[in-house]
Amino acid sequence: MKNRILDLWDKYSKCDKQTIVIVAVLVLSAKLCKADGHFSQVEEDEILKIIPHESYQRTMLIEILEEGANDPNPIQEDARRLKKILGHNNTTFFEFIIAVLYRLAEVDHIISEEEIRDINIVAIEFGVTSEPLTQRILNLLYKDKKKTKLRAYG
Amino acid sequence: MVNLNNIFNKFYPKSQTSPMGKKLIYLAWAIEITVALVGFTIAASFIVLGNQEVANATGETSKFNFEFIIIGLAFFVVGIMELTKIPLATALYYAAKSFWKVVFFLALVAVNFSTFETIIQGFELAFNQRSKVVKIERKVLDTFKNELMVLEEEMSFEGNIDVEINEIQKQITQLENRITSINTDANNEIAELQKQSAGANPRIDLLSKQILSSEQRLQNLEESKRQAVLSLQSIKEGFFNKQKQKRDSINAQIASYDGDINDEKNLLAKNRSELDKIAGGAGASIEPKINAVKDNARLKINNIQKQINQITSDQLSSKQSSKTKLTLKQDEFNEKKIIIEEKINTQKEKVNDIASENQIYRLAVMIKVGPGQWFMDQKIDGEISEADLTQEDIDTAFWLWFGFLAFIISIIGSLVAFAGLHLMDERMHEIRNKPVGKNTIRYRFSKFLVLMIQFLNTSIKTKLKPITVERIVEKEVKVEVEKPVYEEKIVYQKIEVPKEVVRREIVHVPLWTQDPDLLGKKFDPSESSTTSPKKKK
Repeated sequence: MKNRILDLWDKYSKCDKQTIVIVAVLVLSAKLCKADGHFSQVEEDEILKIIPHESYQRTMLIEILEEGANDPNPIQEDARRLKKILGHNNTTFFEFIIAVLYRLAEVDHIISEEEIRDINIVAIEFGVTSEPLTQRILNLLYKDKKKTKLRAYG
Repeated sequence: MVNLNNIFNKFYPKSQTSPMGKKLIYLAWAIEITVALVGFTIAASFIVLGNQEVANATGETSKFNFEFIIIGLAFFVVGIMELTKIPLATALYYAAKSFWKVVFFLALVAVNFSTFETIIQGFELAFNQRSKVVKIERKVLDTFKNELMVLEEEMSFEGNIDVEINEIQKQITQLENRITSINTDANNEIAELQKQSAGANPRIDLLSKQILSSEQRLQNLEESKRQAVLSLQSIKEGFFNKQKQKRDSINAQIASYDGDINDEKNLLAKNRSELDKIAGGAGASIEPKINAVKDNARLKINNIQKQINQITSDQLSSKQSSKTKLTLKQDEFNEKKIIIEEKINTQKEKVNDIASENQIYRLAVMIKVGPGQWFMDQKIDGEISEADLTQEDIDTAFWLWFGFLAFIISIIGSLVAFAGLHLMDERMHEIRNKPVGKNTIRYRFSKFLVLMIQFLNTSIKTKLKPITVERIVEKEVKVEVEKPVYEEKIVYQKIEVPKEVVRREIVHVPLWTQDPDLLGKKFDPSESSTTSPKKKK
């Protein structure tokens, strides 16, 4: 087995499921904000505004954001892990996270291509995609033969 | 370990209520599907039982009646309609425009009403099936009760006839009074004429007075006789009350009245003839006038007498004869009544036995005894059993019990669906977490309520607490003078304790030995003092 550095997921793996989810959301947000090259103070404030917290928790949240921004793993990996924790049935929550990511993407009034790409990656990983009815039927009929083009909601 | 659970709950509050909402929606579907199944079962029962009834009636089993299929399908549609309730509730909950809200609300009310009807039908079928036997027995009981009622009506005819006879008697009395008044008027007129003609004849005056008093007495006697006859007629004779003695006494009284009347009439005729004789000479000139008055009075009296005779023959006699017949039948009626009452009692016991097994009848009794008296102004004399219940009582119990139940069943599905939708709605959390402004009426009202509660709480507490009142009360305080207590003083004395002093003494102990070294040896005390410390070591 390949030796690897202890990453964020390993660090918080012993925590409650709810805590892990919040950590994952913070990590996803941090990585999305960093996707366009810089993690600005406005973006950080917006994340902290979205995540309701008490004043004593602020430092902890900023630390997690920094850890998330410095995490070398790709955003796809985090989305995949989060989906693994929550299961396939929590579509509404996945949609909620995508909505949060969109809000963060447009906080600086510029949505970069990297940010859109990352949101699409996360959406596809979550399975929050829309496709025409005919395509869905075709997918069901030719489950493995044909791959369809997916795109995130919105 | 990091714990951000509270952040998650605030971040995604839907996670707290959404699973329960989902469960409620499933529950609502379960209720609606069950209600739909009731509709389907009713539909099936209409088809199957209807065909069976036709087959039993006609004896043909092969024919399939389409009418029943149509009715059954109608109920099948009702069953399917039940399944539209939750979608309609969802549409109503999320409807954005008031128009659609009204439309969906009306649709939901209509579907709920249909559910109510379906459930009531189900309950009614079950109740009807269970109370069939009771109904048969109750019908028999009702027949007996009707028989008794008819009999009592027949028995009450006698009373009615008495009233009618009294009415006729009154008519006759009025006519007789008229005769009397005619007579009196005629006599007065004649007397006036005679007075005018007779002048100062004292005998004529005396006779006239006697005649007047005789007429008065005669009138009184006739009135008394009439009263006696009336009282004789009003005596009711039954199976248990024979009043022969009373009748005999009244008859004797009437006979005595008749004798008196005859005597009085004779006296009157004698006085009149005498008066005529005396007045003959003096009043020959007024004779035609008196005769005219008399003829006039006689004519009038004859007419009235004719009327009396007619009434007596046409009405009174027939009534009296029918009364006599009824009086004779009274014994028969009484016997019949006793038999019917016995039958009613037996049937009542039978109904009570069967109906006590039926829930609705028991409930109807309880309602009649309890809420019926409290809220519905129903009055009960003594104890009440299932047999004493009317159809109205049973219907009331049915609607109070099954009606309410059906109503709740009909609306509960929609309400549960609404509850589920509300719990799954994220807007609810937004509204809940919205801070209440201090200038809003809601905030002020809630603040006012809180203050009121606090005020009441403190006032109750202070009222309940025992009040401590400070008063200056002058009391005589007994000053206790401390008396010196003389105690013996303990004197410590130094007493010398004698110390034990060890002194060495030489005690000669003769020792028996045969050792030649020791024999003849002399004891040196210095040796013994040097050897002892060594031994200690």
